[in-house]
Amino acid sequence: MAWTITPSKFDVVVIGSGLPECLVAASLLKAGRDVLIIDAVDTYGTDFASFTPAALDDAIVQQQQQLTSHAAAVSETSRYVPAPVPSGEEHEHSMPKCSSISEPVPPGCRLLRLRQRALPVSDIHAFAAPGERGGPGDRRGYILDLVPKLVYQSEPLVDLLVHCRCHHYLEFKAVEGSYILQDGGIHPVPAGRADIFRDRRLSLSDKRVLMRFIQGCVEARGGQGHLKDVLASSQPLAQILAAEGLSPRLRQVILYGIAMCDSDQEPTPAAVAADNGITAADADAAAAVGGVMTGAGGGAALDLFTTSQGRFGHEAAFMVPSYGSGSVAEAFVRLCAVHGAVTILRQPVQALLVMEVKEAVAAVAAASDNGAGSVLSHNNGGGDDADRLNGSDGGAASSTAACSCVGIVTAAGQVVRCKTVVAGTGTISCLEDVLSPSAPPPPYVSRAIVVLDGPLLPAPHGSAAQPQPVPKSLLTMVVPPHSDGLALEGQASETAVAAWAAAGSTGIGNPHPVRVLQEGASTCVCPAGRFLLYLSTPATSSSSYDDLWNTLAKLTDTTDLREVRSPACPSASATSSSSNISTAAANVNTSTSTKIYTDGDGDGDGDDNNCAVVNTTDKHPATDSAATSSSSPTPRTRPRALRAWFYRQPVQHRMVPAIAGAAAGGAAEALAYQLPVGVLQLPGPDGGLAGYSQVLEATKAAYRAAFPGVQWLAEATFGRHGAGGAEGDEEEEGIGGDNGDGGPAPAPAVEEAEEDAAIDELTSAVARLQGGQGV
Amino acid sequence: MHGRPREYKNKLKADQKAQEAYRKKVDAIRNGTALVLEYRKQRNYDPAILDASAKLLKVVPEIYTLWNYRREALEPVFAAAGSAGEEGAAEGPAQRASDGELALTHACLMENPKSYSTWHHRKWVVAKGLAPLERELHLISKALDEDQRNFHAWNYRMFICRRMGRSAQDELLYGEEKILQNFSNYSAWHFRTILLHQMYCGPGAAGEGASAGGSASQRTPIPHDVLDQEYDMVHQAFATDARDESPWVYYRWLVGNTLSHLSHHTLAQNATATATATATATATATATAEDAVEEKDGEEEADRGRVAAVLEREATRLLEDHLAAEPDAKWPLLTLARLREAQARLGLAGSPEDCEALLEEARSLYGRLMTLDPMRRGFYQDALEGRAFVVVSALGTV
Repeated sequence: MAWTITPSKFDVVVIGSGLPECLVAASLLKAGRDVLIIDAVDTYGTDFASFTPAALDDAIVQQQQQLTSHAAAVSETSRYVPAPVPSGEEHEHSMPKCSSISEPVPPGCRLLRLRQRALPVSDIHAFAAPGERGGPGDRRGYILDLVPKLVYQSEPLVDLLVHCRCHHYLEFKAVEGSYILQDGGIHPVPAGRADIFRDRRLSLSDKRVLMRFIQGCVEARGGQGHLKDVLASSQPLAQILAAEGLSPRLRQVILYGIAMCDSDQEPTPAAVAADNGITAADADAAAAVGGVMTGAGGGAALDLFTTSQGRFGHEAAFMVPSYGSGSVAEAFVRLCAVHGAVTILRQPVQALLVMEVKEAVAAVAAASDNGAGSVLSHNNGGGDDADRLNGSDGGAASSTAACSCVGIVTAAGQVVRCKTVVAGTGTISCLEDVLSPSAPPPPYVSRAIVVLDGPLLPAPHGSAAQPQPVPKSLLTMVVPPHSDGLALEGQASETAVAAWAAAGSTGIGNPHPVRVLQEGASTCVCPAGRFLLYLSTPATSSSSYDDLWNTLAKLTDTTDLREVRSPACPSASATSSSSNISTAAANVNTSTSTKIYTDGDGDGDGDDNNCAVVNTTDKHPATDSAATSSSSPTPRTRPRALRAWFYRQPVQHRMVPAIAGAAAGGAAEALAYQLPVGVLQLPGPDGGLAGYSQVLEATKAAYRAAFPGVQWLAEATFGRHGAGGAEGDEEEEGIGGDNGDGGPAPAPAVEEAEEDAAIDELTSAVARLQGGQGV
Repeated sequence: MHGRPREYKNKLKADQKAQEAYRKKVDAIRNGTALVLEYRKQRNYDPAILDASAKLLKVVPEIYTLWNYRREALEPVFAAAGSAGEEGAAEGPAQRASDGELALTHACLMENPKSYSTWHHRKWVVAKGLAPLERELHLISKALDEDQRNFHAWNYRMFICRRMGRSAQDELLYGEEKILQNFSNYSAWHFRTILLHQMYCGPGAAGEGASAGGSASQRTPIPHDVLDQEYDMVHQAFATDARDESPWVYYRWLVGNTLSHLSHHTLAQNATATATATATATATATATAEDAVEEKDGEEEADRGRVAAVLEREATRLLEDHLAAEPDAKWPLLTLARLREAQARLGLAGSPEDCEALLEEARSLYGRLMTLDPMRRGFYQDALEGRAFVVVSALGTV
C-alpha cells in the first residue's frame, strides 16, 4: 500500500464531491462530525462537475468497452477491474486503477462492490469538423459543464453562498440576454418594462396584457391584485394565462421564457391521448422536469424571476459562474476543507463494507458511547424502511436491506471505517446488487455541448451609446415545444433580432422545450473567438442525438460535423461496425486535398465556409443536401459548429416522497435502490437549466430525514471573518456594493468618513491661512 | 437617485455625535468662506487661498461666490495663454488650470451631481477650449448611466455635443437608447424635441435652434413622416404603462408640431374667437405672411387635409388602442378631449355641425375627468369652459 488515510475512522465518509454531497458534508462538519470527502478523480464536482473534452472522449471509449464486454460473456474477473485509462494519457478526469484489498475483510462483514465512472452519462456521441479534434489545447482550452446552470440572482443557493461566505471563492457574470425562438426568428424575451416597450414584435394590446399580467404578479406577491388567488391555486399556469387573455405566443413567452418551465405546458389533445395510452415516454420526460406547472408554482417561479432581475446590476435575472458551473460545488468543498474535512482526490472507492444488522448494531453500540444510533439508521425514515423490507421479500437482493454499512474500501485497498456513508445518486447507481428489480428506469435529460466559431446572434447594429457593437457572449435561449424553427433569411430579417438564414424552415418539432445556453470567453470556459453552446431537453427518444440534432442544425451550421466513433484511439475502433466512418474521418484529417472549394462569392478567396468535404458520412439527416447547396451563394450568417457531443443523463433529484408531491412517483424513485442502513443517498442533478432550487430542496429534505435535529448549513453560524477564518479576510457583508434592494450598504459609512476627512482638511487649511494672515 | 428621502436631518436629531460633526462642518464653512471673501476684497489670488477655496467647494459646492473667485483668479491665466498662441498652451499654466478645474468639478459632481454652480463652472472651463471633449462625452455618458434623469447632465451633454459638432442624428440615437432603457424620463424626451427641431427646422439650426426656441408654430414644421414615426413610438409607451406621464407630455409636443403645419394665418384666424388676448401677438406674423398668401393657398388646403387626417387618426388610436381596454384612464381621456377640442375649434372636422358635435364630445370628456380626477376639478372646469384653448393659439399645441 503506497499510503494510507489517517485516521482510518470517521463519523461520515462522503463519496464524491457533487453539490449535494458538499452541502451535507459542510453541514455535518459545522455540527461537529468528522468527515472524509473522497473523490475518484482529480477534480471536484462528481455529478455536477466541469471537465475537459478529453474526459468526454475517454468516457466514449469506456462506453464502447462496456458494450463489447457486454457482448462477450461477462467474466467474473473483469467485473472487478475498473475500466483502465483508455487513452494512455492521464488527465484530470481519469481514474486510477484499484489495487487488491490488502486488509482482511473483518469478520461478519462483506463487500458491496462500487464501480465508479468518471462521468455519469450515457449514450455519448461525438462529432468534430475536420482538423478540430484533440490536441493539447483541448486540455486547458475548454471547461465543459456536466450540468450547465443558470443561477437566479436571488435564489436560495445564492443566499446560502453568502451566508457561508463562500461567495469569496466564486465569480459570477450576469447573463446578457434571454431569447425565445418564435415567429421564425430569435427574439428577446420581453420580461420587463423596458423590454416590453422596446419590443416592436408585440402589438399594443400584447404590451398592455403582458404588463398587466406582470404587474399582477408583483401585486400578488404582496397579497393584492387581481391575480393573488389564481397564483396560489393548483390550476395550471397555462390555463390562468389563457384566462388572462394572453395569446399563445405570449403564453410561450411567460411559460418558457420567464417561468422557465422545462416541459410542454400545453400538450395538444393528441399528446394527452398518447400520455394516457400505451407509451408514457413523454409523460415521464415531463415529470422529470417538473410536469405541468400550477398557478402556485408559477407564482413562485415568476416571483423568483422578478426578484432576481437586477439584483446585482442591470436587468438580468440570471448569472453564471466563471470557470464552469463545477466551481459552485468546488466552493463548498473549500468550505468543508476550511472547517476541517479530510479531502482526498483521485481515490475511487472500490467497495462498501457492510455488516449484517445484528452485528452492526452491536458494533455501533460498542464503538460509540453517545446516541450515534440516531445518526444512522435510515435514509428514508422508519416507514419507508419497513416498506422497503416488505417490498424486497420477493426480490432477489433481499439480503442488502438487512445489513448496515460500516466502512469503505479505497482504491489503494485500505479499509476506512465510518458510521455513515453519504453519496450522490450517480455514485449509488454504480453500486452492484442494490438496484431494486421492480424499479422503473429513471427519466433522462438529453444534452449537447457544442463548440462554435462565432456567437449565435450577430452583434447588434451600432448605436451612439455603443459605437463598436459587441455580440452578446453569455446568453440563454429557449425553443418552445413544437416550434416551427427558423424562417428563411428574407422573413427573418424583417423581424427584430435575427437577420440570418437557416438551412430550411421545417419545424424542429421537439415535444418539449429545448433550452440553450451560450457561453464565451467572458466566463473563461473557452478561448477567445470560440463559443460553447449547451442544449438540453427532456429525453423523449432513446438517443440524445435524435432529441437535439434538429435543433442544433437549425441554430448553427453543422455541415462540417462528422461523427467520431473512437476519439482517443482510432485503431481500437477497427473492431466496431462503423469502421467506414472512422476511416472517413481519418481521411479528412490527414489530407486537405479532399476538400472542394466552391467559391460561390466569386472573389477567389475560397472562404472556409464554402468548402465542402467529399467524404460525407451516413449520419446527416436532411440538412446535408439542403445546406451545402444553399450555403455557397449567401454569406455565412450562422456560426459553424466545430465539435459537438451528445449525451444522456439520468434525472434523479427527487429522493423523498414529500418532495415529489405526487406520492406514487416519488416513492417509486426513493425505492429504486435497496441500500444498506447507514447509506445516505443524495439527489443527482435535475434536468432543468434554471436554478439550483430543486437540488437544494431535495438535498435539505434528505439531510433532515437522515439526521433529524442536526443543524442544516443555513442554520449554522459563520463569523464575520469569512469561511476561511485563518485567512482573515474581513470583507463586507453582502455580495456587492451595488445591490439596490439589499438594505443599507456599507457605502454611507465610507462616504461619511470621506466627508469628515474633507472637513478636517478644510479646517486645517483655514487655520493655517488665518495664522498667516495674523503675521 | 430618485424617491429616496434625505436622511441627515432625522439623523441629526437622534445622534449626538452627528450633531457635533455638523457644528464642526458649519464652523469650517463659515470660517473658510469669510477668509476667502476677505482675500477677494483685496484682489488677492494667492495659490494657497485658491487651494482653500477648492477644499471648501468640495464640502459645499453651492456657494457660487467661491466659484466666481476662482474664475476671477484663473481668467488672466487663460487670457495669457490665448494671446501667447496655440503652441504655449499645450503644457502651460492654462492647461494645468483647465485640468485642475476639471478635476475639482469632477470631484464635486461625484458628491453632488445636481449642483448648478458646479456644472456652470465646468462649462466655463470647457469653453476655454483646453478640455479634451471626447473624454467629456465619455464622462457625461457615464453620469447618465448612473442617473438617467439628471437634467444638468443632459444640458451639459448638449453643450458638449454642440462644441464637438456631433451630429444630431448620433445624439438622437443616444437619446433613443436612453428612452428605451426607461421611458419615464422627461429629460430624454425633452432632449429629443430639441434634436428633432435641430434636424428638421430652420437652416443649419445646430447652434441657435436649441436656445432660440420659440413656439412650434413659428418654425419650419417637422415633416409628417418623421412625426408619424414618433407617434408610433409614443403609443408603444402608452401601451406599456399608460400611467406614466412623460410620454403623454411628449405627445402634446408632437400634436403641436402637427398643428404647426397649418400656416400661422389659419391658426390665428380660427382661434381669434376664443383667444382675443393673443391677437396682437399673432398680428405681426399674420401681416408678413399675407404677401405670400396667394400662391400658398393650394398648399395650405393640402396641409389642412393632412393635419385633419392625423388628428382624426390619433383620436381613433386613443379610442381603440387605449380607451377600449381602459375606459377610465386619465391621460388618454384628457388627450382625447384636447384633440377633439382642437379639431372643433380649428374647423378641421368638416362642417360646422360636425365641429360643434366634436366640441360637445370634448366638453363631456372634460366633465368626465372632473368626476374621475376630482383633485384637478378646477383645471378641467377651465378647459370645459374653453379657457385652456388659449394654449393652442399661443403655443400652437393642444
